[in-house]
Amino acid sequence: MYTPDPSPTPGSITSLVNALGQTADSEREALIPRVYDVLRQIAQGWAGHGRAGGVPATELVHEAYVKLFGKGPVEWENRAHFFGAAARAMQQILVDLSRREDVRRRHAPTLAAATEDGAASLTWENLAALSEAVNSLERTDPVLAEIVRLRFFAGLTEEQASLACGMPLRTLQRKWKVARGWLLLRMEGERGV
Amino acid sequence: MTPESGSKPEFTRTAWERAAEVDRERAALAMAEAAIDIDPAARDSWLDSACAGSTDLRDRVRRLLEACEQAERMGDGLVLPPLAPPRLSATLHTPLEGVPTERRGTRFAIGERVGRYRIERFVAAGGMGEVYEARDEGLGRRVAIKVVASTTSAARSKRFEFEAALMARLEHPGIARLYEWAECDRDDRATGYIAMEFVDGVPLTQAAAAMADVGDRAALCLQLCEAVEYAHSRGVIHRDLKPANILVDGSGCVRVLDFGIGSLLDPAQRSNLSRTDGSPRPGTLAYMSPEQLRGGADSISTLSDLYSLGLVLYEVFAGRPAFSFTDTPIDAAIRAVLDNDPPALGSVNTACRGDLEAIVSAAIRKEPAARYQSVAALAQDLARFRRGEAVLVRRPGIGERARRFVRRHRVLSATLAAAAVALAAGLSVAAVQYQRAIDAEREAERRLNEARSLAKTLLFDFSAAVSKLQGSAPLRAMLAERAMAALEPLAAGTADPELLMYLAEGYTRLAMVLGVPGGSHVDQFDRAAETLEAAESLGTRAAGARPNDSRAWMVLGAVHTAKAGAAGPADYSKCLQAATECYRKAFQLRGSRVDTPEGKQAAERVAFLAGHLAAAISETDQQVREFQSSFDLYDNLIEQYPGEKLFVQSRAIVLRSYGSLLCKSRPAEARSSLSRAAEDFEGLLAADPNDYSSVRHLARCRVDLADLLSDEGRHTEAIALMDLAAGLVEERSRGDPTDTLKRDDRFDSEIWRSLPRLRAARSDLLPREQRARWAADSRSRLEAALVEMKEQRADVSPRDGIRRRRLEESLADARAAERELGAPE
Repeated sequence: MYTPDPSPTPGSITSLVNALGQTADSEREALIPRVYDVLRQIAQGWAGHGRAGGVPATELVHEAYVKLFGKGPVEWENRAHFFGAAARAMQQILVDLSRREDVRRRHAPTLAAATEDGAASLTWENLAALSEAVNSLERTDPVLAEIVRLRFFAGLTEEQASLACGMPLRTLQRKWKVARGWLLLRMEGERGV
Repeated sequence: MTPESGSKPEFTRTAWERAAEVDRERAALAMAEAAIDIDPAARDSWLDSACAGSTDLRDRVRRLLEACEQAERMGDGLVLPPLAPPRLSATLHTPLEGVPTERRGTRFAIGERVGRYRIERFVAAGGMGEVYEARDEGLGRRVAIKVVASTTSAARSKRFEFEAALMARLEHPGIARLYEWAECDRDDRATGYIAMEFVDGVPLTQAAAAMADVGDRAALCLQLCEAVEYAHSRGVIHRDLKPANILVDGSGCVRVLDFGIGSLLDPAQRSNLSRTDGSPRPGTLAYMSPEQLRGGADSISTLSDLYSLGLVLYEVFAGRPAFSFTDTPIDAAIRAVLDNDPPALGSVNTACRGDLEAIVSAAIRKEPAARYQSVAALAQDLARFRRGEAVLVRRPGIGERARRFVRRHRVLSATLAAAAVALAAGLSVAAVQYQRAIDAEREAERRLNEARSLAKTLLFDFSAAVSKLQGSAPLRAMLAERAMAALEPLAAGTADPELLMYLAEGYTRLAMVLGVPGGSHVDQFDRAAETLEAAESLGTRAAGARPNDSRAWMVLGAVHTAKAGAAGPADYSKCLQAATECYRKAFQLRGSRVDTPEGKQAAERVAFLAGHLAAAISETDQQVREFQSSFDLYDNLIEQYPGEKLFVQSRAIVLRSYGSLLCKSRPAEARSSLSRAAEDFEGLLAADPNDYSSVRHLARCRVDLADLLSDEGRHTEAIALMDLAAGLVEERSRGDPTDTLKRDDRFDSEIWRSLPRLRAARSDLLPREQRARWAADSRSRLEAALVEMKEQRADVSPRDGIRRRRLEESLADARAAERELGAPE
């Protein structure tokens, strides 16, 4: 178990992105504390959202960590692979969480339902729909889907994402725009609005 | 990813289509990516050239680009913000200062004493704070404690004390009492809390769901109205009426919770969104009045309560919320609150049609002035409904009725497919309602068009489906007449080209089944002619309104073709020429291509009518030339679409007509042409044995071929072939005695049988005995047919007159031959 750096430096995602690109396989193990750190940053972006209070960041990090490293040693082929995997892990965790949240809400005791505001958490619900939309985008255009994952689920900035998948920034921006449009169409279509 | 085409046996067409769809999507994505940075002004023309030849691709890319721009405009907002979560949350849950963010019982500990209460249980955390169950130890009663935001003493102004006192004085069995509004010190800060009556119960909507009877539900609602009315009379507005705030206790009493406390808990929001939890969450948006959502000075009033109350009533009766926004993005939810009506109550629960629907809809009108002006008035109408008296609510205006009708009709139409007669009945409802709605909003009209075209499909497709079945003519006439009688009121009022086209088409079909020779009909020629006049005028109006719509010209072309069928010789060619013009235009509008169903049909019509026009020419050489141009058109079409039934059938008809016209002048050409036609018809008949039109054509080809044989003196062959032709229609006619067309063909067949026999009887080359037998046979069959004809028709139409005269003439011939030859031995 690694102890996360108590004070993650801003920009450590970018530095990790760079480091992953430059480090030989044998040395990557040494990067894992930084990986953990990055996961925490990603998770913090998500923590506290959804329904009141949301999920503590640490819980998200642990889940993401288990998803990424739980199956034994990982060979990171390249940085795109790493961030792709982290983004997928985050996607899966968040969707799972949203489902749990949904079940919890449905089985809440009557009085609680009566007193408590039964407001659905828009974030969680959209999340599951978005996740499905991204998965179906992957069938059509895996690159676009990857960019959405990096940007949305892993929370990378455009610059970070362009570094992570080794794509010129302008190209990435264009693709990101188109992907958002596609997702919007898709999600509106499914809601039948 | 993409399956290898055809390599696997389980590879289905659907899978292929899916793969093709993915390819199209992919192409559109790539194209959009290329286009996205192009200046929007130049983009359209760029797209037109880049997607040359594929409108589908261009449309997809356009849609995609529009969505991209929309996503761009949303920016960090609603749907897909970059690094969305924190900002998304900020949009949706603008936190109030001091509203607790922890959701466990963090304010008070179990067993802790707060003021005069002992905390017993953490109940829930709502948007407004935390709720505990507690006990007033002095009075020994259960209370609900709501913890308010941490407040400062300043917040506890005189005004709030006054309001709290006002609420505390609300004493009504339907309202949970507010006991106390107090503060305690927590961590050196003043924490406000409210002590209220603790209500044990189930939400109103849940209680109502267990009641089968609408009257019982109305009784519950009356209780609710009384409670709200009472509070309003004391100057207290609830501000947050929703099912979660309305419980039904163990004794069946409705208890409204949280009356007016929104203003205590949420002073900052009083004049704004006035939400007890301060944020426009989707779940509560669902019960918010439009004016409340807009905000503003007079946004909170008894009428906004009345609106929310109306939505609660709706849910009670409908069994589902009027609005549900759980899957809706917040901007769409807001639009819905401001603009959308929920589905008509009666369409959700048919037991609520009529008065109840009117009452509820009057409570939830978007415009406050259009609602009941007090909860008391609403309650009175509800009570009248309960007692079975007439309600006072103003009936909805014509526009509203049209909107509702459309909703109702949509539900209706799904079930209409079951029975065509029910469909016709449904259409008459549609027509009457539509007439009333003619001046209503365009939207209503558009939706009605949808419903109507659905009905159209069902009616006419049904009609087409039965038309080949034996005995269907009267049924089709009945269907068509009922449908058109129902639609007649529409004809007067409309200028909608779609509707005009539809009506013209409907009238044409009605005319055909009433009495246009050439197809099965029920003999009403005068009515058919009248109906065709109406069809022509409607079709002409449609084509005038939509000169660039190929469908309008197709419809008008069909009208003229039917008119030609019904016209006398004087007008025949004129009608055909008019029809040809229409189809030519339609074909041109389709890009002079046959790759669409309409283009194909228009092309077929042009060739077909050319054949018919040629048939009407009297000078032989010119006629042959005209026919040849018709065949050239067909050859061209069939080359492009080999085996296309429409073209083959159509050409065979023209071939037959050509052949029978040239029988006398050019027998060799006639024979080859008739033989080719007969072959085609045999093929068509083999593919579809119920195709009576091919039966008739085939029979008539054989009649002419038999006549050609007679001309050559091959009498025995001619008689055999003619009997074959007669047998073909007689067989069909026996199975379908009500069909006039088949009955007529049956009489014709007797004439046919007699023709080669009587010609043979005059041939001196054949044995006298044989000739005498042919003459006698013919005479007796024709006599029998004539008797049958007289029995069947009391009222003889001109056309029957012709047939009858032909029968009589044939009979006279037969008798003369018989006299001449003597009786056979």
